[in-house]
Amino acid sequence: MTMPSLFLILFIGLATRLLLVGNPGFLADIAFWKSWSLAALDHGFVWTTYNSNINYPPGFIYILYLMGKIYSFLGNPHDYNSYWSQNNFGFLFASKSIAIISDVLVTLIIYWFFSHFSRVIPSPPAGGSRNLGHQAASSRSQRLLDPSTPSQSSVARDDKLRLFFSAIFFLNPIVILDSAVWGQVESFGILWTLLAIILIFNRRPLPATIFFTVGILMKLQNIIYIPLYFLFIFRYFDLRTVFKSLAVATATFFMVNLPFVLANEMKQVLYLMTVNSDYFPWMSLNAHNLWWIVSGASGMEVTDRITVFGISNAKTIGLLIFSGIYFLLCLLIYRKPTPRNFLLVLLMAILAFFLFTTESHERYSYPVIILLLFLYPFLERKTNNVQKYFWFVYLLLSLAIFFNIHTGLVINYPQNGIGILTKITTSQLTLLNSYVFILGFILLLPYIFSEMSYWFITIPFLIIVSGITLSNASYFFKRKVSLTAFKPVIEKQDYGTPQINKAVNSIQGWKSWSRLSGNYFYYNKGFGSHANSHLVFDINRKFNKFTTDFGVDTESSTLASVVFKIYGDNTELYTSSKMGRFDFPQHAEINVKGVKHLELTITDAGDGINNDHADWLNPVLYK
Amino acid sequence: MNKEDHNIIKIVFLTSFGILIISGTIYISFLYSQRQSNNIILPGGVTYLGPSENKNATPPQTSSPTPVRFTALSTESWKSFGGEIYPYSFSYPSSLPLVVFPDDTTDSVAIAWNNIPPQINILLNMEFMDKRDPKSLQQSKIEYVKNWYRYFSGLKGLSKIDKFTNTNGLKGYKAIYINTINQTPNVDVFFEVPNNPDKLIHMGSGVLDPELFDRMVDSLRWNSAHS
Repeated sequence: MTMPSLFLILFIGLATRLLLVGNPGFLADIAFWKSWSLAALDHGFVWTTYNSNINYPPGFIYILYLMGKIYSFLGNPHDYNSYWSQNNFGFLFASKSIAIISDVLVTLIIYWFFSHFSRVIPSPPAGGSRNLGHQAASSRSQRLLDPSTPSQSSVARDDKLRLFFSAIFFLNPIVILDSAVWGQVESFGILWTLLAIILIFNRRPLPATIFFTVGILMKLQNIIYIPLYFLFIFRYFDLRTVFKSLAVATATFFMVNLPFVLANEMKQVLYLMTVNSDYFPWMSLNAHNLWWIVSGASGMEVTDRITVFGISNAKTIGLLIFSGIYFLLCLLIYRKPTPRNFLLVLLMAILAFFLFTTESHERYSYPVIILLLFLYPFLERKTNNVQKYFWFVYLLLSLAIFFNIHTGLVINYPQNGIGILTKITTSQLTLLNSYVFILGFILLLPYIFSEMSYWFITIPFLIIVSGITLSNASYFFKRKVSLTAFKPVIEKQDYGTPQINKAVNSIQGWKSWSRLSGNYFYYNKGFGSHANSHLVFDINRKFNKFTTDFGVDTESSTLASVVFKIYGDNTELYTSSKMGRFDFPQHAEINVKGVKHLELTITDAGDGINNDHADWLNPVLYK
Repeated sequence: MNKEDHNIIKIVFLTSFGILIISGTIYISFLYSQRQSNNIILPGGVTYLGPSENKNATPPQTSSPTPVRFTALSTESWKSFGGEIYPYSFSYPSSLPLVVFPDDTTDSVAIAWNNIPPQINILLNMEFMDKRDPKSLQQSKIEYVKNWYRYFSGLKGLSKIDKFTNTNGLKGYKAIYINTINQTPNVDVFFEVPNNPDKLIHMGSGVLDPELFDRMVDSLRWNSAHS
C-alpha cells in the first residue's frame, strides 16, 4: 500500500512543480546562472572563474555546466534574444530541474530513513552507555518506526508515518516555492548533508565525509556545520576516525577541484570560497531576523558596519552572538554525542546563523524544515502534549520561513509571487515575522536543555559579554582606539581599494605587500589609499579628539600630488596643504566631540589622479 | 483475463495517464511562460554573455571607422516600452533589441545590438540629480544639463543646448556635448519629471539613427497618476 501512495505523493508534487516551472522566478539569479553556465559550457570551469562574476563555490560550476548542457538540448544558448529572454522556458526548465530532482531525492531519503530507522540507528547494547545515542528515541517511537516489529497496527502506523513525513517535505509550499518558483537550489545543498548524516548514523564515517565535503563545495552554507561535524565524529567514534575523516575530506576536496589542480589555479578555489565574505555588507539580505528588526525592516539599506555598541559594529556583535550559541552546541555534542543531539545541533546552528549574524539571506533558514523532520523520531513523545508542542513549533517556523522566502522574491519581482500574499505583505508584517522566528528559536531551546542543565545558558552570555568587552577594551580602559579598528561605512577611491596597514599597491597580492610610509617614515597602522578617496567611519559620537599623520606613500612616483581633508558630519574640520612625494608626513589634531560620521578625503589636488598613492598614518581616536 | 494481465493493463493505463498529466502540466507551464514579458534580462556587473561573433573577423582598422547606426524600415511596427520602477513609457521599433538590468535602481534601458555591450549602450536612465551632487538641487534644470558633462572624464564641454516640449507635454533639454577628441557624436536629452524636482529622464542617441531617436524622444510620456 505504501509504495503506490509514495508514487502518488511524488506524482502530485512533481506535477505541481512542473506547472510552476514557467514562472520566471528570481530574474537576477536566473540571469547569473545563464551567464555562468554559458561560460562553463563555452570555456570550461577554470576560465569561468576568471571571466564571469561567479560567487558560488567551485563545485557548483559542475551544476552550472549541467544546466547549460541540459539547455543545449532544448535551445541554442548562443541565440542571444531567445537565451537571455526572461521567459526562456527551456532555461527555466533546465535550471529548475536540478532543484526539482534534489527535492525528489530528499523525499526518497526521508522515506527510506523512516522505513529503516532502527537499522540506521543501531540499538544500544543492553545496559549500554547513554552516549551511544539511542536513549532519546523512546520505546514508543521505536515501535512506531521500527519495521522489524511485526504487529499489524504498528505496521500500518509506520506506513502512515513515513508517508506523512515524505508528503510534509515534498508537498511543502516552502520547498516548492524555492525550487520550482524561485529557481534556487537549497534542497540540492541539504541533500549532501543528509546523505552524510545517514551514513554517520550507519557508522560509515568515511563515505559520510565524502558527501559532507562535496556538500560544502556545492553550497557554501554547509560550511557552518564543519566544527560540529568533526566534533561529533570524535565523540561518536574516536580521534583516529577524525584523522581518517580529515584525510578523506582533503582528498575529496582536491578531487572535486581537480580541474583547478591540473591548471595550477587553486587560488581561484580559495577566491570562490571566500568571495562572499562582505560581498553584501548589509544588516540583513531580506532575512527576517534580529538585524531586520534593528534596521527597522530596512536590512538591505543599512550597512552592518554601523556602530551599535561601544565601538563594535553590527557585524561583530552578530558574530559574537552566533559564536556564543555555537559554543553551547559544541558543548552539547561533546557531552552527549547522540544522533538526536547531532541533528539538533545542526538544526540550531543553521537557525542561529540565520537569526543572529548580519548579511544573512532569507533562504538560510530553509534546512530547518528538513532537519526538524529528521529530529522528530528521536524526541521523547510520552504525552500528546509533547507531540503537539513539536508540531506547533514546526508549523510556526514553516509559516515564518515561507513568508520570509516569499517576501524575498516579491520584494524584487512582485509579479512572480502569490498575488494576495504580495498585497498584504507590509514592513510591519515582516517585522512581526522576525519576532516569530526568534520565538521559534526560543521554543526549540527546551530540546537542548532537556539534555543539559539550564545553567549552561550562561555560557553563551559569558562568551558574548567577554567578546564585546575584549573588542571594546581599548576604548574603555586605554581611552583611545586606532581608527583601523573601525570598518568604513562608505569607502570609495579612484584606484584599487583601501588597504589596512598596507600601501595601496598591496592589492596586487601578497608579493606586493608593503608597509605604510611617507618619504621613508614607516608606520605600523593606518589606511593605504589613492586619490580621489573618500572613507567614512561611524564613530557614533563616542570620541573627543582625532589625531593622524598623513602623506604621499613612498611607493608612489615623484609626480604625485594630493590634498588631505577631514570632515565631521559634513563640516570641514581640516585641510592640508598640497603634498608631494618628497614631503615628510604631516600631523593633524582635530576636535571630534559630538561627531557621528568622521570622513577622511584625499583629493588629486586638481591635476589628475595618476601616481596619487596617499596614506592616513597612525589615525587614533581619543575618548 | 488472469490477475497478472489485469495488473499489467492497470500499470499501462496508470503510466499513460501519468505521462499525459505530466506532459499537460509542462505544456501549460510553457504557455504560462510565454504570456510573461519577454524582456531581455542580463546579469548585473561585468560577466560573460557569450562569445563575440566578430572576434578575429574584423580586419585591422587603418582609419577611424564610420559609426554604424541602427535604423528601421518605415513600414516596421512600433511597440511600447514601460519602466520597471518608474512610470515612463516610450515607443520603439519592434526590431530594436532592448534590455534591462535586474535590480537597477536607475531603471535603465539599454540597446543590445551589433555586439556592443549593452552596459555601455544605455538608451534611457533615470538621472538622480542629488546623487551626482547634492548641491545640484539648488540649480535650475538647464544649469544642471549645461554642466552634466563635468561628471564624465570623456567629455570636456557643451556645444549646444535647446529647450523643447515633446508631444506628450514633457519639458526637455536637448544637449550636444564635446568629447575629449573634439567630436560631438551623441545627442543627450533630459526631460523634467512632473512633481519630482530631483529627477530627470535621460535619453542618449548612441547607436540610433537621429530621426529614429527623435521619434522615440517625442513618444516619451510620464504617467503622473503613479508618480
